[in-house]
Amino acid sequence: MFVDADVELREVSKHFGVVVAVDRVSLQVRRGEFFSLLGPSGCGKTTTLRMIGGLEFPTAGDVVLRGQVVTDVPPYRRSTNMVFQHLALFPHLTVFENIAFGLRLRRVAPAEIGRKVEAALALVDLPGYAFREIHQLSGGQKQRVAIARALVNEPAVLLLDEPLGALDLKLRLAMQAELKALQHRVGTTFIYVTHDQGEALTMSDRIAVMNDGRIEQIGTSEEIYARPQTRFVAAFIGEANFLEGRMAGSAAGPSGVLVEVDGLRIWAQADGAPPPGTPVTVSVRPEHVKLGAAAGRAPNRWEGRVEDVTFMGAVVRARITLPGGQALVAEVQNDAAAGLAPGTPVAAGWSAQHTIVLAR
Amino acid sequence: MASSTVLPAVAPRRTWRATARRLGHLPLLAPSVILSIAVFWVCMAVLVIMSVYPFLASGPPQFTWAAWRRFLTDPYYWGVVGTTLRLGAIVTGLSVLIGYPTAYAISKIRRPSWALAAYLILFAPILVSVVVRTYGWLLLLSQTGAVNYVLRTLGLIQTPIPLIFNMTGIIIAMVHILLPFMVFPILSVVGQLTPDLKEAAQDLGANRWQTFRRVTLPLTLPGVVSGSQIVFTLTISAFVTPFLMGGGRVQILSGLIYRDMEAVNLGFAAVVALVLLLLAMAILAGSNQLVRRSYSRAEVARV
Repeated sequence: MFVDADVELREVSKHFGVVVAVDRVSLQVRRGEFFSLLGPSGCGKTTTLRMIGGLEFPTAGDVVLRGQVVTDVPPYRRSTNMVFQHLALFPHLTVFENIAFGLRLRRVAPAEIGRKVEAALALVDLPGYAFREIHQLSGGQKQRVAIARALVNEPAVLLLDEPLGALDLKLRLAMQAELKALQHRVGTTFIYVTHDQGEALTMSDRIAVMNDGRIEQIGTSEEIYARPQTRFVAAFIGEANFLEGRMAGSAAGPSGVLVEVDGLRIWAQADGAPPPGTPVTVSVRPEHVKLGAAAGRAPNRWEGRVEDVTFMGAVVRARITLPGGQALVAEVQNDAAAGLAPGTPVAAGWSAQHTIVLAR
Repeated sequence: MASSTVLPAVAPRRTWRATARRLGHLPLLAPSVILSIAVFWVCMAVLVIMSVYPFLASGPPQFTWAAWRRFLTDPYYWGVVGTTLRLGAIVTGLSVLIGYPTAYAISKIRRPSWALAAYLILFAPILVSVVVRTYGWLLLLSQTGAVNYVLRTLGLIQTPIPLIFNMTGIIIAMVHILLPFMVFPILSVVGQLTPDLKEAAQDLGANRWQTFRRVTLPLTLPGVVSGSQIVFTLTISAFVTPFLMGGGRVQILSGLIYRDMEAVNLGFAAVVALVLLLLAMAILAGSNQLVRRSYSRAEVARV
């Protein structure tokens, strides 16, 4: 139990009729953390966020906010504020009144409201926009107003529900960087829902990967990427080759442990590996597969055959068939791809540290 | 070379076609334009002329302000104007009070079959003739009618309360008849409200009442204004229901017109008709100003 946890979910479930949207989710979000809920659509991430904000109430389990159980507390009595997916700015109010909405409800003195709204607008880099109408703003500006409207209330936790989804790619990337910087400046705990793994990896301190209402893994971006604990996480974050096998009998060796995959013997790192004989899935990222001379003295190295080559700009992607018939995708820098042609033999390999062993 | 000789011949034909295409829809407007000109504007012109050139039994018509002077100087007629406006205001007010919650509740119905049932119940009165409906109300509300019977049986009243041949009767029947015209515009606006606006208000600290007061109501106001315009203008120009329910004891402008037409007092009838029209136009213009302002904000496309 973290002393400084701003948000804690304890075995929280949400059922809509017979549909289980969220299934016994437990997590803790530390104070000041940028925490992302990442998963495909329908995985329960938005429902989880809405339960933290009080817009949905759990079927079972508890929501704890700064040490207080708030499971059944309505949204208007929680110290959370939400940036909605479609922003939900009030079209009948000016930018100023949108941002002042929460302050007015708390009967903050008018002079104070003026000051706070100005400060919030400055924070999101929109000074002088106070008396614009909402429909006069561009998409990115509306985004900023929505963030200012939530942050001006100084919430314990800011909840963001895919707020960048409606923006075009370039603006989205700019807003990602800006949001991250903003979070750093104000120090508020952010919980960010997204289905975009790139967005989650670049912005988050920690990520909870969700699938089918459950949490698959919680960790930093590096942990999630380099050491996925389930096949779902390995496939959802980045790309991965999968090979089905089983832990070898007397596995330990100088290069780690051995996994047998249809006649191939694959070395993996020993720590955390399942006991001998366990059926496992071996995963390796395409960019970790080296080809030709680069495969060099890698412990996992075979003579394969190039099936096809796709030029992708900075990198070249090659599909390789291994001696056991397994297909493997490799991604190499395009200067290392000279001589790769369909039908030609090529050495392919990777080091033991890049072998990801997933229990089946 | 060949093309240069062909082109001039083709070009005008193309522009002719373009023009035809652009104006092709105009014949579609013809019936309504003709109706509008013939039935409305010509009649209006006739009314104006009639109000100052009254038809005389003998001799050529002569210009006179007499009808106008009589209407504008007699306090009785100002009283009738007051009664008419009061009726319009009360019926409109009650329709809003009953119609808004009704529209709100109907918009919350999820199951299509139930929503259809609600629509049917609400709009069924429109399908019944005004006269039949009004006689129905007369039966229900008379001294020996169902309402007085129930009230007396329950011991709530000792003597029957007069519910017909007075303002109360007119108001009850008018609200019933005009309620759909209030509910429908409100329903169409309430239906466009996305739930996330209300959620945003609650997230920012608004309880249910504050959410209604600060978000739902302002955003649905255009519907309330449109509904009120329709109900108000229909009420002040209604004739059959006030005539039958009022039993000749409540005089409103439409009743005056009828009375003077019967008496072949065409000049005065024309004056009353024009006053009624001016009142309706003034109310419409005033509320249009309001509706335009609220629409300009509420109709904006959401992100």
